[in-house]
Amino acid sequence: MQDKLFYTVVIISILIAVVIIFFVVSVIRYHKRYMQLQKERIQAQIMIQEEERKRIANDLHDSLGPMLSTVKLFMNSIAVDNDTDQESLDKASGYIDETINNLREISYNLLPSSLDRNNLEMVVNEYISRMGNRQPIKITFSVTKDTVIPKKIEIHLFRIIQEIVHNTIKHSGARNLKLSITRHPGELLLISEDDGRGFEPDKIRAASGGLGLKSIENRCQMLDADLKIIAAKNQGCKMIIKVPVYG
Amino acid sequence: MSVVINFILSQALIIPLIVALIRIKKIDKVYYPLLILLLIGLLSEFVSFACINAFKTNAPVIKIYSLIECCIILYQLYLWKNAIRYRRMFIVLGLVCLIFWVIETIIFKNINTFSPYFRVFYAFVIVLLCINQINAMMFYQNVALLKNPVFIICLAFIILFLYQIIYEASYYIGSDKSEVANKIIMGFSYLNFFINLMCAAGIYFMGSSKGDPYSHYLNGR
Repeated sequence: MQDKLFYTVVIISILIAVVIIFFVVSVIRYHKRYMQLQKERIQAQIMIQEEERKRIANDLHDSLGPMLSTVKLFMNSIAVDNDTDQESLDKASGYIDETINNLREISYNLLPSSLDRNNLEMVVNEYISRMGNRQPIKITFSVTKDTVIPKKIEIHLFRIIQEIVHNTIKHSGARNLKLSITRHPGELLLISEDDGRGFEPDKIRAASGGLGLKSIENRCQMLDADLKIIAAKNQGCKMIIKVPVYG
Repeated sequence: MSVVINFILSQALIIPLIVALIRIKKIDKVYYPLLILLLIGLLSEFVSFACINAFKTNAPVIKIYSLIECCIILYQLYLWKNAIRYRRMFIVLGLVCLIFWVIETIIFKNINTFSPYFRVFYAFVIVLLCINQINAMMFYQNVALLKNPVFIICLAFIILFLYQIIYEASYYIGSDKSEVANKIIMGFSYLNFFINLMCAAGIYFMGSSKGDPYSHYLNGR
């Protein structure tokens, strides 16, 4: 009787253990598949976003730009005797110039076409100098020597930098922003550090939806990158993004 | 516990059946195997009661019901799985269960005695399939799980069949030889009652084709 009881208990325990193990393995398997699905979804969203940005940038650059230039040309060809009319024409011409510049700026922000021809370092430096001219913030960017950034991740790193710069200018009130890319075996480190008023990431996510932050997180997920945010109120913000580089 | 109280508790099957009857027009065809199973369950309770009174044993009824229950639940889980690629797996599982039952019941000629092997085996298979179903739903479906009939019924199956494994083991040991085994056997009726309430809740949430995540399955066949 004792043997029968013992073996029955052992067999039932094994069956229940198998059920528990199966449950855990099944959760892990589905979670893995779900994460892959999420990644593919984000990838598709980002690709669509990039395509849409490209389309809008091209439309702005190729159709609106030349049209405004033509308008300006026609305006300049108008001969007026009256000084008041001439003044109005000059003003309108000035506004058209400003509009063309703004259009170029928007088009550039939407699609840094120079990324096709130049490397990320040059494009980011160009972007920073454009931003620096208009904003009371000192932005520095450095890439350690001999760092090779794979072409396919350049656009994502650029977008992340764009988002960091935009967020820093808009929300942090920082005077200095340091950006750097360093190469480590098998990975790239993108580090940003500002001396602004800082923030609490969880609060930002909960309160405003944190679209900028979400966008950075999505790009990181797409790149399989680790994102670490070290930030606290009035203590600036440091972001460390570790991007794995394969091959 | 007397046979009569046991019988009354087992008649809790009527609760989900009444709910099903009231909502029959709103229930999608994909859930019909489960409703048929409930009907067969009720019928087997009556036949069992009659057999106990007439022949002092209901073993043949339980054995035949076990096989039917196993096949219907496998078919129901296959329908809920909603993927043709699992068809072969379910057919193989069904065949394995059938062969197991034939070996245990026909070849070893023990249709008139209780034996736990087949009941433990198919309970184990159903628990694993239900766990898989629930996990798939947790990750892939954007629906409130607590109001999802498939989730509620799979959960009920997991509880029921896990208990069934322990119950069969207790029966195998013998209620007269172990006080614990006796209590486990007695507890099964109460658990069965609770499971029937869960099934009733599941049936209450069963929707029509419109807005039902599984409706396109039958329509698309």
